[in-house]
Amino acid sequence: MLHGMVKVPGYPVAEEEISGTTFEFWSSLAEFLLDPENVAESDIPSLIAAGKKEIMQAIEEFWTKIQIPPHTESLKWTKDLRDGFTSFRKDVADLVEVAYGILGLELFDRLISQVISALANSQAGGAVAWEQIEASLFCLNSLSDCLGDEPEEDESLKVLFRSRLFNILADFGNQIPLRVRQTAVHMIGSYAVFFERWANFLPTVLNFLFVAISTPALARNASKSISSLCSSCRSTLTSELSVFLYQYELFSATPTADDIAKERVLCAISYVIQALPSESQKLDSLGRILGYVDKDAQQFLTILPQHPEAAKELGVSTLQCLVAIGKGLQAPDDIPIILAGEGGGQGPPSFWEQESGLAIQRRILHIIQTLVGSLAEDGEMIDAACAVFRTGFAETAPGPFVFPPRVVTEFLLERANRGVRVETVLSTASTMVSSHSLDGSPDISTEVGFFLELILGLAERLQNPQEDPEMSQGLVEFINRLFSRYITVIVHYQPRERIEMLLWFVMNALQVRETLVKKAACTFWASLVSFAADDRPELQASINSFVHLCGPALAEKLVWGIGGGASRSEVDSLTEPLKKMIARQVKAKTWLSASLSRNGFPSPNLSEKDKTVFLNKIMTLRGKRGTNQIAKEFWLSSRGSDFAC
Amino acid sequence: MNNQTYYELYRRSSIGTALTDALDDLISEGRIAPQLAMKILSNFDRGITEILAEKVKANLTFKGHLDTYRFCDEVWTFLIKDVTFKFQQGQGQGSSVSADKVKIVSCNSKKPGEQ
Repeated sequence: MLHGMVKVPGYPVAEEEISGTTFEFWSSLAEFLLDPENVAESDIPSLIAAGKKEIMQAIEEFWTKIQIPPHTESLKWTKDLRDGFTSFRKDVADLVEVAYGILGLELFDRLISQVISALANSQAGGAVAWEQIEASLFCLNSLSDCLGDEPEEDESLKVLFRSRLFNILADFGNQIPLRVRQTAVHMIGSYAVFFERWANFLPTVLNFLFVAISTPALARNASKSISSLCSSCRSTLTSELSVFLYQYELFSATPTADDIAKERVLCAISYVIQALPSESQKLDSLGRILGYVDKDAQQFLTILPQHPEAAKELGVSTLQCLVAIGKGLQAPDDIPIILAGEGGGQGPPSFWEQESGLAIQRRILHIIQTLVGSLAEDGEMIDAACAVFRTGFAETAPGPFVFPPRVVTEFLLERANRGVRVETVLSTASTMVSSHSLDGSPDISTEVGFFLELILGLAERLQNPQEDPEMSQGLVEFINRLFSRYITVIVHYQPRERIEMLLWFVMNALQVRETLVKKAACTFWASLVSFAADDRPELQASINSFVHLCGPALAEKLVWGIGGGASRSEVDSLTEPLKKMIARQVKAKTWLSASLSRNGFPSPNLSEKDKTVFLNKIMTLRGKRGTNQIAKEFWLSSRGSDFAC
Repeated sequence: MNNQTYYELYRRSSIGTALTDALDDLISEGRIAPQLAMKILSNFDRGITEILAEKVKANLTFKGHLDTYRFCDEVWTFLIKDVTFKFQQGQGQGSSVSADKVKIVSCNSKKPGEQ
């Protein structure tokens, strides 16, 4: 009966709604067979054999169901029906994945055999059943994550990738439904791991993909698959660099070249460049791809006077291409990490800091400055330019996108001084500080000092963080990044009154309505009150003086928040600096007691006994985890609400 | 009247905490009674459970290293490290997100005795 339900005639969802009701049964059966319960040992082999047969039959029946209808048929469907059919196919993909657990290699072989048979049929003079091939590729796609490290399925996949399929697909003179090529493109990207093991199959699929990117409907997916393959197989593809560059040149010259596809292909090429064995070998290829970016930048300048909107789009796209190149050139995650003390520090200048390497860096910088400067400080251009700089922050070794901190700082401060995208500037500066706080990274105290001047100016202008919550959040988050390595920049700043002004600004941020500002301020105060520099007594003394200056006010703000002033969801954040204060500050009880002693504060719903019990409980816990629960109960009592959830 | 109870765990999601904060404010301002807020949250529990089960079709897959697994009182807790989430988007490939540590708490979609 269940097989009958799957075989009900008609396209699922659009014409029948019965077959989809059986998914749960078949999934449950497959899962049961993986680990049969309440079955005698002796019965298990025959049970599994029978079950496998049923499941394989069900998969074949669903395979028939998911075959794409002719275009003329699907045109009659409403959007809901098309979405429903797509959803049905996804459910089949899930079922196939579950069924693989019990069917294994047999499922793979069956799907691939179907494709080969369909192709063989065409050689015998018959038509190719493309909808069947697409259904098989679709199912194979759902199995891509199921493969282990050295699977047996490789032999089956070799049969598929050795076949004529991708050569036929690459010939756009053949009339093949678009969906077939789309599914094939997707499938190639999903099996990047296979191509890592069997790189000899790469030329065929890459040829297909590079042809596919010229078709607008395929461009994005094809470029994503190209990127996936080049990332996984970069070392084996270095000999193909000149071919890739040529293909990109052809593609980017087409009028319909998709922006996102361009970025992805440039990223893909950059992956391969990154894998070249020496820095000097990278120069030529890098120079060529920067040439394509330069061309777009020149085009930008040409059309800017007459068509500023189109020029802006092109400008942003050009910068995004630089971002893509920068990301592609980043060192992969799986390389040896140099431990603290083993490397870093000042060595001889790297390749990228001298002559021909430096020329590449200057070229990139020139493109950025030309684009940003020509559009009178457009915000989107600045966002994209900052993204270019960020690609270098993640690197631990010099590279074309690892700009000197001085250069990045000058660029960011120039933007901030013009009042454009200050939040982006602060965020980028924060990332730069974080990346230069790691062991072995260069010290950027001078640059941090420049940013601190900017921060102080912003705080003085805003006065109250509620005036501009977004900027206030960026400001506080920047200061939070300084604790691990650059706190001395704040501590040694003169005049001290300006730092005190900044501290009061961050203090007031604890009462801003916007949650993110509050959370950033909580992080700051938690870090400050718990800061420990036992090996630097002078630094510790300075920090202590700041804490003692702010302690009473901080206690009051925290009590206000936990005492009902803040939202329920913010109590945990506010409890963090409270716990640190209690654990690390001798005067914590004095400060808290003083704020709680005020009549009617933090809430008229609290009696003196309530406040005393609260204080005693949190002091007894000495900053331990249970403080959070006490704080939440205190909040509820303060609000006077029976609404506990 | 439908006496079926629903899990309250979604109240701790972003949307759940936002609703709770909003209800808190309304109670503080005296615009609604706490009992109404409780009813609203009960409706939220039901609504989000049904919507997630019936309307949400987005798929994601993830891979990682299972550090800890725990099953107690019909609640599974998984602690997974070095996780990569892949979001499926329509016909094409989706995006991926990585995380160092992920904690998954899951309850049976059907409570004991439920059909």
